[in-house]
Amino acid sequence: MMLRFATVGCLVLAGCGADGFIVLQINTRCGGDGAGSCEIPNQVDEAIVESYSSEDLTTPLVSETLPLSGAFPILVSLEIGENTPAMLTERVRLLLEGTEVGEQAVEHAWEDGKTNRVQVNVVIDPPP
Amino acid sequence: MAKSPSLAKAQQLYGESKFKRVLPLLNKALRESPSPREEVQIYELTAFVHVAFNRSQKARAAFFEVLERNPNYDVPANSSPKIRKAFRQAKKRFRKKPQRTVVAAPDPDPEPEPAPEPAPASTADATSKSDFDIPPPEPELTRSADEDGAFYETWWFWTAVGVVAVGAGVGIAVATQPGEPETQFGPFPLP
Repeated sequence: MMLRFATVGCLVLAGCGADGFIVLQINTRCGGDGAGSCEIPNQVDEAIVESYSSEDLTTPLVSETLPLSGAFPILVSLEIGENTPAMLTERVRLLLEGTEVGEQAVEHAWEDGKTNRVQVNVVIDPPP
Repeated sequence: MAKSPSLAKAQQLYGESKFKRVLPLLNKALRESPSPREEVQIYELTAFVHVAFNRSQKARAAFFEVLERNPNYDVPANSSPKIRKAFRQAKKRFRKKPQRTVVAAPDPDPEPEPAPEPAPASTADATSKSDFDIPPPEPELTRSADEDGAFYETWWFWTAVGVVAVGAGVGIAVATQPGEPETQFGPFPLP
């Protein structure tokens, strides 16, 4: 757990605003080796992103169901808080019409005051 | 010694600390076609009298007149610290405004004289009228931006500097905070 300056209020020059961010970049691979990203919405139309403390993988700190549009990669940001554990495990599940078609978890640390980028590569093979 | 009888008399009265009677005589001396050297003496004494009455601006104007006529002028070495201080300030301003901008004749119709500051009790003869021969310890003059020479000696200048410094610090702190990343989703707050 990192020591924070701004535990109470906002100290000028010592930590106003967000403490940092984690950006999950969700990549996919559909159709076997060498194939490209999965298509939205034909192969994937929803993602469930869960962020856990690595010390407790039973209860997510954050759980969001995201209706997908556009194309991969999908970027999801998490704002680091005062009590965010030092080691996090991000779990991404991809769904098509409510059925899970792929899942991947990534453990990572993060640095305070920065935008921490984490890649989550989900392979769906064979594609639905 | 001055040739002008009015100036001579003024100098005598000044030596006796009879300041109220000095300025009219100096004004009269100016009308007596004084020599350049006497003019310097007239304005010098005018400045001294204004200093005695704490008229900073008039003293400064008179010192300007002195400096216009003799840029190398300096107050006598045995002058009161109060006079030297007033002259120092006037000289500082004079350097910044070398062009002749002020004409300060002795008051032809002087305003009511405030009482000169009484000499504080000291080891010197307390009954002595010669305040300037034995300079009393000088209380700090009330300073104002108008009376002081340089803007950087004023409280408002340094207040403004402080405000700008704090503002810049806050601005840098805010600017160095991580900006919210552009993503399709979020940010979702973690605990």
